[in-house]
Amino acid sequence: MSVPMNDTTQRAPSRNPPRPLPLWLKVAGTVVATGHLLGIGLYALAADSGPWPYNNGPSHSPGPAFATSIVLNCTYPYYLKPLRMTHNYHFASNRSSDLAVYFEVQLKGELGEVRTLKFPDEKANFWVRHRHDLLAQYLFPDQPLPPRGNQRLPALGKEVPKVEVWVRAEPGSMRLKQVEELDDLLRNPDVQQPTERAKLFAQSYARYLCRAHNAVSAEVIRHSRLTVMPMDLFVQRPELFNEMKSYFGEYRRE
Amino acid sequence: MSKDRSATEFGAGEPRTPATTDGAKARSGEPGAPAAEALQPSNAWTRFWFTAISTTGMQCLRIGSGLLFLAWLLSFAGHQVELFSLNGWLDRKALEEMGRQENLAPVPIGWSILYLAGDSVALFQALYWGSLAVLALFTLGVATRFTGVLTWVIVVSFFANPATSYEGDYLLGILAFYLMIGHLLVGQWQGNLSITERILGARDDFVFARWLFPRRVAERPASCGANFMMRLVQIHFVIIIVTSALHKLQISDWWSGVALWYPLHPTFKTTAETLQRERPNADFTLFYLSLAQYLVLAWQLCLPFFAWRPGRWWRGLLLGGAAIGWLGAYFLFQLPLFGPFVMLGCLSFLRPEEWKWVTDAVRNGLGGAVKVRAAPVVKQMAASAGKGNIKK
Repeated sequence: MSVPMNDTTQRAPSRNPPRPLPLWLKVAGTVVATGHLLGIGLYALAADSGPWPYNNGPSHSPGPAFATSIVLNCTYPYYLKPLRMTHNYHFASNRSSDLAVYFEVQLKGELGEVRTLKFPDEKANFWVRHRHDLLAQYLFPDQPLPPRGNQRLPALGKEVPKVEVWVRAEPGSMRLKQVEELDDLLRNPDVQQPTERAKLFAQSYARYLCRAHNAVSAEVIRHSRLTVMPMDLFVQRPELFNEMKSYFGEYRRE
Repeated sequence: MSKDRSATEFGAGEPRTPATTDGAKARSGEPGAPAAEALQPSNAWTRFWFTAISTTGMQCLRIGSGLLFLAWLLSFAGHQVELFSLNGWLDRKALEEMGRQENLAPVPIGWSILYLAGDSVALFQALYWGSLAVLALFTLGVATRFTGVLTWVIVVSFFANPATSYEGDYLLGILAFYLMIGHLLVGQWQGNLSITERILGARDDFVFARWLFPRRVAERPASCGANFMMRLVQIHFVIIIVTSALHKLQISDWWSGVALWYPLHPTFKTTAETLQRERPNADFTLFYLSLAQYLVLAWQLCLPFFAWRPGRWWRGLLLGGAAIGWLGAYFLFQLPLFGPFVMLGCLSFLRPEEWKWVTDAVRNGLGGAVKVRAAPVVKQMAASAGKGNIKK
């Protein structure tokens, strides 16, 4: 066999044959490889699928019971999670979103001066802009208010419970406000509220920017717009290019 | 020759593809051919997983992955505190809140060495720059058993922050994990290593070892550990790609062939005027977008059927698809990590002789020199892998 002179790694086996692997090592390797890859495969299989059309509207469907059972009780907590292999390869980026989002933060200094920062920051590099975009994604989607049921009256001497909902302020903007449970606004089925996660993230962003820029207060403002869809080539949607501003409320530095 | 010995000489460990003249004898059914037993279908499993191969592929994968890890982490320089520390976008208070209500975290919150820094920015900076140094050492091949483990720890630590966690980061964790396993295993059974090398890693892993220790590199034996690691990477990569394709088929935009429309029409940049200009050619646009998108899906779904096939056309399909995917992921979807990961995953399917051809081509550098060298290598590949598998 002709081997080029600089082929060192290929030539090695003929002069220095590899020591054969013993049977026990092959069996151990087989068990490890099979168990590991089965764990990975089952985790991918156990992911929710859909959304599929149901009587009550579109909904996700859980994975097969055998896979979810093995994953939840065995492979995920004791193997995949410690190894940080916790992605099921159903990539969120495969799915287009209904809304496109970016956010601004209005910072107020001690003398009342206002400074507005926009994220993703157009001056940042591609990779950092991408992470800023992820930060913006966590601020939506909103969720409808859960059904209110019977009117909740306060206990004697107590205040009426309040709920945070989006309230339209002026055209093209809405503000996060606390509304009493008895308010008629909550009877409107179109009323929405941010998720707990979105509120938590917005507060954390505001805290960070106050610290970083030595500001007295900060307000996160989410800008959203409907995604342009292929059908927009054929049908004109009047509200397509309208931008909605959602004010998460002012955070004051403690 | 024993069964194990003959199995090790089939180079890439590809089932039913003898890589030696012994293998050719066995295939012809000559009685007493030494490799006959190893070539039996019942030994396919052993051949697939436990054939000793050259470590070139694993080392190239380490260098490619290491460069990707470095690019990934370096790209955050100047923003590392805001993105990853407990003083950043997601601070300690928010993390504690997520700890109380687990459903608030978009991704599982796990362990991270970055939490060791606490609120200390100076300690965090030391961890960040130290991590970069470790990644550089691993890429260069310094003390790979040690730096391999540290590299995995570093990579998974940097995607622990839920605010900036991106699904592409998980793919880096996979590469780091298998490279760690591969470098821990390689040479432990078959290498003639000193105690220091058994603990820290072979000196030959060093990128410049060829020039520093020329005698040693020439004697480096093939490794079953390298093959085992490459097989794990290959199968895990196939699971990822096929699962992703099946997931896409659950999404209406992918079924209707308009998934590529969205990245081509960024919402905040598309205006009524640009849409108006596109209207006359709408049918033409949607026809080609849907065609391109279904070609992507076909490549993903068929990957298990062509990824292990040698030959110029199959390799062209594998690597050409990965290259197009990389360009698409970067320029179209603006996703920084999927492309390089897919390319590295596809490169893991290359056989040792193909890696040799690649490394020779890189070493020779200029295109003219590559052409001169390629001819004898292709002949050698034909001789070793069987003429039927290499198309001229």
